[in-house]
Amino acid sequence: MSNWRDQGPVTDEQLVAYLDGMLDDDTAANVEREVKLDRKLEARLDLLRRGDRQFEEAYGALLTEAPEKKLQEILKRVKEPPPEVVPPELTRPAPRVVGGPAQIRSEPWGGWRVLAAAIVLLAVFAGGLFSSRLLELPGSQPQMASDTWTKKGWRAAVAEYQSLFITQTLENTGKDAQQRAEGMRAVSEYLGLDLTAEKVTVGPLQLKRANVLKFGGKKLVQVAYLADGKTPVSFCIIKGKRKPHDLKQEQRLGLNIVYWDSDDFGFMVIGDVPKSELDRIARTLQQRVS
Amino acid sequence: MMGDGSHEIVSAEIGAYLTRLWRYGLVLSGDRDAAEDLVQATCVRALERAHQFREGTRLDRWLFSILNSIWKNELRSQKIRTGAGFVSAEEALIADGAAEVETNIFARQVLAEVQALPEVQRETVFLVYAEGLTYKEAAETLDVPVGTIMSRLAAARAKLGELNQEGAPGKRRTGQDR
Repeated sequence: MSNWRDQGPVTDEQLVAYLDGMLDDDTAANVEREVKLDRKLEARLDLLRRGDRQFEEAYGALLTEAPEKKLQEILKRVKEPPPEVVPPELTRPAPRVVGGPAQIRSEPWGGWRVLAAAIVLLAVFAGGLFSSRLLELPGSQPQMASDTWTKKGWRAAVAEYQSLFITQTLENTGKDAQQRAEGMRAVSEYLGLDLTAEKVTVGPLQLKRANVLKFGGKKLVQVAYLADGKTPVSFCIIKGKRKPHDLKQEQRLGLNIVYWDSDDFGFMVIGDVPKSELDRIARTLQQRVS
Repeated sequence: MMGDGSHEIVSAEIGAYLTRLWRYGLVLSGDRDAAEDLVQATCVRALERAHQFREGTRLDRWLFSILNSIWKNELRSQKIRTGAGFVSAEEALIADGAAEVETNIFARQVLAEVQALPEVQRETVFLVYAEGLTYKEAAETLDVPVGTIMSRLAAARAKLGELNQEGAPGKRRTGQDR
């Protein structure tokens, strides 16, 4: 490592590299020469030498304490997500909804919430790929109580779906800019609407992933974010003829929603963030996307 | 785009490195639960990004750099916010390790001394001297220049040398470490 060779005084860095055997022969010989000529340098070398320890042995003791079995189980879970395991957070009753969860759970097929939770869980454990996934929201299949859900509308279905999201659903996804761009390209093609990562990214939202969905036979896209790294927020777009209107606000399942329509698309932004903040985000998205 | 070969390698071999990853997580966080979280997050991220792993390079180095990045960019700030770990890293690591390590008073003393160093020195000492990374590998893992690795080691060695000189290693902490 001759590039460390120093023409001036020998530094502590060089002395340590010398002690660590990281210098080439010439530089090491130079250091030795200098040390012999300079008592202060020799004292310095002694001090740094005394700073050596049996590090490998000392830290080796910690290795024996690692909970190896538990770590292997963690890896197994990460590799092969068991779909039947639904964490309690995902099945908890949604806040501030009158009769909502109980009613949903009593549906004959067992409740879409459980299925959605399993799908979300799968997505989480599958490694959070930023790829478009084809998921079915309630109302898209006849056996999924479609009448009830299509009557409730797409915003109700999205709100139910969104209420299942927690920080952990998204925190390990969407780190790769290229994957985010590809995900956005996929949902753009699906909807026939120009959506890029740049267009849909509004501070303080961090873009996490995009999902291709379907509701009542209509194409639906969810762009998922974390606000300030912790609060799940979604920007959802449904395709279909609509009567255009400007931003409106509502609240479902304790989540704030700002929604608007253009001729061909319905838009909504949803999340547990203050109304004014959500309104600002929606306004920006409306300008960029509609 | 996906390198199937590298994905197979990562998936097949990652299991062999879990305890070392946990130890690195413990050294960084000083907290066993955080160390487990770090291992889990590292596994998720490594499998997600297996295509980025270059066949023929060292998997353990690649995994260390992932764990380090997760700690620096995500978990550390979380722990500081919640007031857990980090500050008490020295105490936590030693207290946790005490049961097993106390039979080896020497090892315990070394751990205490290193844990008392500033975090950047601690992690560098660990990677180079305990894990055996070259200066260059440590620089890549920590995403800093080689010169930074060298100055951190020099500062750490000087500090540890002073402790040795005084004959009371691990007992003294001046607060002037930075």
